[in-house]
Amino acid sequence: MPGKAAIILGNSHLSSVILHLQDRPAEVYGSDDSIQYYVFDTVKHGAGFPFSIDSGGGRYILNPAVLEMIKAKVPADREILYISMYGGNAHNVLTLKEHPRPFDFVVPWRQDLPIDNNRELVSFAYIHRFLKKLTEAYELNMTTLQNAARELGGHAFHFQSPPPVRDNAFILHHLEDWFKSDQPVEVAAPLLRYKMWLAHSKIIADYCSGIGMEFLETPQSAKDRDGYLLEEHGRDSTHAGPSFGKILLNQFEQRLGLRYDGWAWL
Amino acid sequence: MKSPYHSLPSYTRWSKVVAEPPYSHVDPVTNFPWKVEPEDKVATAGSCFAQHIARHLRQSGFNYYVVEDGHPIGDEAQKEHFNFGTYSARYGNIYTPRQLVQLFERAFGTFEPQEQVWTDKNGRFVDPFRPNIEPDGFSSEAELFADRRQHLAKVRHMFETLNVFVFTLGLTEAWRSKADGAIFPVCPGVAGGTYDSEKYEFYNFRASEVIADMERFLELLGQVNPSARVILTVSPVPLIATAEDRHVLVSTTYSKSALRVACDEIERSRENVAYFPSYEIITGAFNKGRYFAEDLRNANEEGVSHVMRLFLQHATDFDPARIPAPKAIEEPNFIEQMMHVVQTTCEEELIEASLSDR
Repeated sequence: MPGKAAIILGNSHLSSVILHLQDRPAEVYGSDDSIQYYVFDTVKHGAGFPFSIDSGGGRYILNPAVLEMIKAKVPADREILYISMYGGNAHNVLTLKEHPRPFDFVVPWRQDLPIDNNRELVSFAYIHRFLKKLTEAYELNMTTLQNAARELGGHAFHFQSPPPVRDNAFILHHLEDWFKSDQPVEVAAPLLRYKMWLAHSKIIADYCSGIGMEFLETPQSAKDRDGYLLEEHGRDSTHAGPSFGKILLNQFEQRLGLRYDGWAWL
Repeated sequence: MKSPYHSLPSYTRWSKVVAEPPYSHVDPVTNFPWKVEPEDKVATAGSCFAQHIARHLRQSGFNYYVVEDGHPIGDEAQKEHFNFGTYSARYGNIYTPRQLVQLFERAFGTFEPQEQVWTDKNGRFVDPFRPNIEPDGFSSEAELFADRRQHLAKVRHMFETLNVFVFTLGLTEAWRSKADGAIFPVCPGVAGGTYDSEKYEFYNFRASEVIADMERFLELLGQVNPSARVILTVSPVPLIATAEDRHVLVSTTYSKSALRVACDEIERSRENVAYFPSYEIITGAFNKGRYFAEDLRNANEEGVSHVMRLFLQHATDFDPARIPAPKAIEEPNFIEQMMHVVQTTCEEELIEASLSDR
């Protein structure tokens, strides 16, 4: 049985994996414990590619074009795994930049994280409700991927999106042009950015649990003692770089007892 | 010799102004003592009927004063779901004058109830004095306490800065703590907490107590806001249930009567207080029950409209032409901007990474 093939579908956080894989030499070839990665090609298929389509009557399925891509590229005798890297940046809508009406909130499962009493207190449920509206789009994609994996006898995973880098100076220095304006940009406080990432991660983790998709947390080695992304793994204000992609895939491979056997665009 | 009745205005004659006119023309408002100006900050509180007043004031272009409007993270539907804007602050329904007095005292730090938090059947945390304010309960005690601290500060600010306070008296029946007399808006155990007859008791306020409580509230309000004016109304909504061992219709009649008497006593003794007859408009025999919904409890929109039409006519110099145009949005919506930017940068990031290998 010549190893496994992992199909990686997702949005912008795919970049850390892509940048890592570009220069990664294979460790094995075609052995039973090998894994090859097939990564969704955004340039070829478009950033607006519909991963989920309505098959009729509001029943959404994984776009059959994806299955065609898999059939065309992946050797038929490899066991297929599915990896979701959908979405993952909804929290930055609220807390990358300081909101004009500063706020704070309590993270229920992290009572150790303080709140700033000089800011407007917003309930966690209020935050959750807003974030959930943003995550719905990629939750749908996660569902259709999970359903497809189940039907095909495969296993699906979701990689947690990276936590924020702590240092606001790093964020400012790596701020994409789109975030800039005529006014000086004020980055939200690190703790608030981190809390919002926690809130978002909880939504996604809970969603994964609900649909039976395995949620893989950011490896501890990529984080500092408080859970922020180590600066060396940051690429821009909202994404991680290739060293993070390396840690992600190494963790994945170690978890499954597999060795890397190359990659290709899907 | 003619009797004194002959010199009284026609609105003192039942046949002329109640029995004869078409029901929609009945107007029991006379001599309303002052006008609400469009720029007056009008705050509302009270039982559920007060929500109608709030809604209509807002729609009519008046300065409906809201001090807790909900963070703009949420859109209008979300804010409404979380009970922002239902009243001027997020206190929920206030059914009795004693509850109003205690709200004031809690806001100004002169009364701190011993009961601080309840849990609901889902293990969520509930404010005993606003049990339904957070739709699914608070996620932690810390969150509840922080929200309440923030809320009471807003209530304090509201009382200090409002121009007109519209209070709808709803009930005389209440549940209170035996330990310190704290009044709960709902019976413990109904929306959180657990009923314990050792800790809680039912109490039906007497008319004299309602008067005393309203007097107390007006004194307190006068101390922090001497120029505030108050409009009192009595909710026409009958009791959904009585805790007295008697017919609910009998209990309802007592409650509404006591509240109505209190309003009359207060209005007669204070120049800055006016009574508005919402109760009479909804329940008056002239409309033959038309202003109640099928459940014979809730006022329907026709009835509410009659009330508010007369309110605008008598309590204001309402001129539809003067409804201010909505203020232009001075700053672009932060959330919409950020959503667009995050989406755009995400797409660009991925494309850039994907191109780097070609």
